[in-house]
Amino acid sequence: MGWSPGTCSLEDGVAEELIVGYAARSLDPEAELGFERHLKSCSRCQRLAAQQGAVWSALDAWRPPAVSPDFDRTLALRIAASRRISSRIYAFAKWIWRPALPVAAISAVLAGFFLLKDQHTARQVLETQPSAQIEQQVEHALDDMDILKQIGLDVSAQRSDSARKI
Amino acid sequence: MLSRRDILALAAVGVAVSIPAPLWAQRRGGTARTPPHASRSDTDERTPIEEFETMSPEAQQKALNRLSPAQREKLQERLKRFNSLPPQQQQALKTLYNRLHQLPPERQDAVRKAIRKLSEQPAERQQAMRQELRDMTALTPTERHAHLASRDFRARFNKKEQDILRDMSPLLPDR
Amino acid sequence: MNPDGLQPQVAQPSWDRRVNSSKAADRFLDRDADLMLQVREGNQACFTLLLERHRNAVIHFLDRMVLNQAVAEELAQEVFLRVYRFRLNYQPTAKFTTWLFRIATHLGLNWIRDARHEKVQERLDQEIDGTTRQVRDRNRTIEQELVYRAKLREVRQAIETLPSKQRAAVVMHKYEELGYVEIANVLMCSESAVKSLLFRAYETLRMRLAHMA
Repeated sequence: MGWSPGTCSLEDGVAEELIVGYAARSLDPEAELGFERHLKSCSRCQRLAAQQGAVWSALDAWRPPAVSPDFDRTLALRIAASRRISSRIYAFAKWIWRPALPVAAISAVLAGFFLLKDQHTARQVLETQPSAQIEQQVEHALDDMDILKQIGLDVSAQRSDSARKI
Repeated sequence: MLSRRDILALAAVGVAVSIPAPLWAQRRGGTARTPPHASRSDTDERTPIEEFETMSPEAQQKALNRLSPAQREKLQERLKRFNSLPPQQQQALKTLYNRLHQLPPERQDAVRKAIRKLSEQPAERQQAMRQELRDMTALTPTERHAHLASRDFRARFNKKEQDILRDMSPLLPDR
Repeated sequence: MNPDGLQPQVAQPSWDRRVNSSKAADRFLDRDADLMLQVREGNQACFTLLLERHRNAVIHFLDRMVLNQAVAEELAQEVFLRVYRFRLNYQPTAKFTTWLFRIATHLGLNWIRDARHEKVQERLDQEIDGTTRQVRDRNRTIEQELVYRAKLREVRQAIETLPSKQRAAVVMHKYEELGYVEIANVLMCSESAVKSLLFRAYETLRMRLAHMA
């Protein structure tokens, strides 16, 4: 069922690349025209191009499902947790090269503080998640404006005249 | 072998360095884009840029202070460039922006992708495609749909260009 | 030159226009590297922006690779976690998306390798019928929905039969619309190796899916 040499005027690999590119609609106009001319006289490429087109359409039908709404929040929590772990590892590495600190009493108080902070951190992360801050929204909007500028702005308004008969 | 004092000291140091960890949480961690308003119109709805511009100077500064100095400078520069565009151009961009954000997020991404692909085409093909978009503004959505399937359209544009124009057509006004 | 006007393969430029990119596209793509450099400098907001821009693409890519939505999201979390963890070492020597998809592909391929012992059919059936958020399209009748799901099952089975690297190449080529060179950069192999992967994959898919025309 695959392409094989000897039955087509195109060289090894060329036909396959054209067949795939043609179905993907990624050939440049000249190559597309040239390949369409070739298809008129090559039944093998015609058949394979039709099959590849069917594959392309079938793959098109595969739409991924929606992303979980809490994806970003979960990621934020994981990042916060990993930062705490790496901070502690770093501090411990520094500590073992220093003399032990005489802070037995303070450590008990701070241990309790640490437990409370941990819960507070997770809450803070969640509280900062719900909506993007205005400065981020502005950046998004400017990104979109940069993209939209590429269209050519006179498609924004309705045209009362028809410049060319469509 | 660690003494009890050493272990307690270790706990103290561990707690002390955990204090900066919430700094990440304190900095903003905004995530999703603000969802498009359900009934955003082309011209009425304010863009985030307009929202920002109408904030008090103090509120603007507070927002900008959440950025690093380099990022702040860059944002201010971009805003300055945008605001120096002719008013008509700004309005046109705003209209397109609002139309884009009326679409579901997946469609928005498809439109953005199509515009990027448009800019990757050879100059003369870009010109032809932009002219086609301009001409399609004169059509109703039904006429547009029929036109995009017509033989004439398919003869003048290759498949890739057809896809680009189809994907961009939601940005055109509804007559 | 052959009669159809097509140039012989030797020393020819690619006909595939995915090879070409305009300055505007490059400017847009450079922005990702720019953002990542700011993340390196400690700017968390830029990380959020990068997440916004690429989250869906990474999740969808992984979903098509591992054919399991929950796993895809878990792996995508890992992708962005790694991006964040490695931020201090980030150097813009390649496109940001190349680096991102390289991490995603690596994690996806590892998961496929490790999960081979699971029953394929059982997982696919669960995915399509039960546990995914594959919401029924309200515009379809029940019959159309059943036909769609049967078609989807066939497509997923066909993809699953592909060796993992071929699968990665097809998903990048078809759904991310990457060119041969970009895919080669992600997979860290040659362009000709990518073409070989893709053409073998499409040959398999033609055998399995061409009847769906």
